[in-house]
Amino acid sequence: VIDDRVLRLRREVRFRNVGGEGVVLRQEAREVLVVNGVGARVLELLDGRRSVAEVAAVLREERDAPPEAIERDVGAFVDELLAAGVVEMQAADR
Amino acid sequence: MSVARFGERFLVDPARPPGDEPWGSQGVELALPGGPYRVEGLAAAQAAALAARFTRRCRAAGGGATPAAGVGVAVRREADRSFRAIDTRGWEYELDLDFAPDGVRLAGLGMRAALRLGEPAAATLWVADAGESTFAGSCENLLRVAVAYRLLALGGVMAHAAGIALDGRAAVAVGRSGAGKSTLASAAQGAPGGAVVLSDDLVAILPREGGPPAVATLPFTGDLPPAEGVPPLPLAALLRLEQAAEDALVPLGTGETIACLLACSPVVNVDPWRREALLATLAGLVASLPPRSSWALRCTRTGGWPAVARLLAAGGKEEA
Repeated sequence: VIDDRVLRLRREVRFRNVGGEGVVLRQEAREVLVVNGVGARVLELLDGRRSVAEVAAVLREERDAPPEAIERDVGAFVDELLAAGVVEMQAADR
Repeated sequence: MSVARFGERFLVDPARPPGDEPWGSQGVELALPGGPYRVEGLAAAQAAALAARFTRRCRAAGGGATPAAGVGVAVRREADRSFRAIDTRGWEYELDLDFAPDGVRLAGLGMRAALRLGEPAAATLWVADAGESTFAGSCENLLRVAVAYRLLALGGVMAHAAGIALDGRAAVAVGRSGAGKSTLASAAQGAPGGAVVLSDDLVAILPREGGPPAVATLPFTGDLPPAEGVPPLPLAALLRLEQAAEDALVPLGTGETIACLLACSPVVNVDPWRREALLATLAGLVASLPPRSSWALRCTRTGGWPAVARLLAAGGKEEA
């Protein structure tokens, strides 16, 4: 199954890549999250244009890990980001 | 979710524009980080109240031009009936803040204020107290907010943290309420070795050309009186306090370090117009920290200080 969800950072969320990690500011929830290097890369790639499958494809190029593991991990991470209110689905009229 | 309109907790009519009548012709200059802070339009009793509150940091301001940088504060009259009478027993007091792209409005007990950001920044404080009771506290409320914004503009931050100095270096300890900031500060103060508690509540962290950030004291009240007369000191150790069963120092990564500073940057960290600026500023500050100077300090209820003292004596670096 191809994960064709297209996501982007929610408008009020701020993200910054810092020295191989990511800091995510969810000000309205008064929450700061720290994600590891792969998580930071996924957040950079979730730009409202690429699908989750396309994000996983980029990571497959960049990372030395089994493709199935990458797809599974990216999918699970994106689910977490959605549940945490960090990202949202891009509207269909992109 | 219902959102209260700005000021309605404290002001009878928040929409009514406040007046522009000074209380008097006196002025003082306050030496606080990011300053000078020049307060004008004061009645004699108000100037005296600020002198008593800020002691050595307060001096009479001559006429002269407004400083080119810092903050100018105009104190203006407001009628007592403009402010709501509030029974504050058992009440945790929090200012009402209204953020905008160019500044912030404040309302609190017996006060309202507006801060316009810029170079210099300009603030107006409206009070009904002539200097006999609440004036210095109202002014301090505004100054905390003004200092937070000024430091951010200068690439620094006002941190809700304990600051402790030893051997010409400073440790800054952050942590949620109850994490042990005051306990650590008290332990440092009572320990042999000459540690000085800069504050158990708020410190200023400012960038320094070519070196680690500097930690400066702020004259705002915590449980322990803030240190006075201590020059800014290089930040040698940044500590995130955590309660634990055993004492331990665990290195903090860059992201975690930025996150803990974000969490303890009062006022500016809830300003939706300054999200980018705050993240960028903290990333810059953390990038200028010496290597291996950020730690999670897991400590027992009474512990912690010996580990911090060793860190400071070693210039902030210690193998975990």
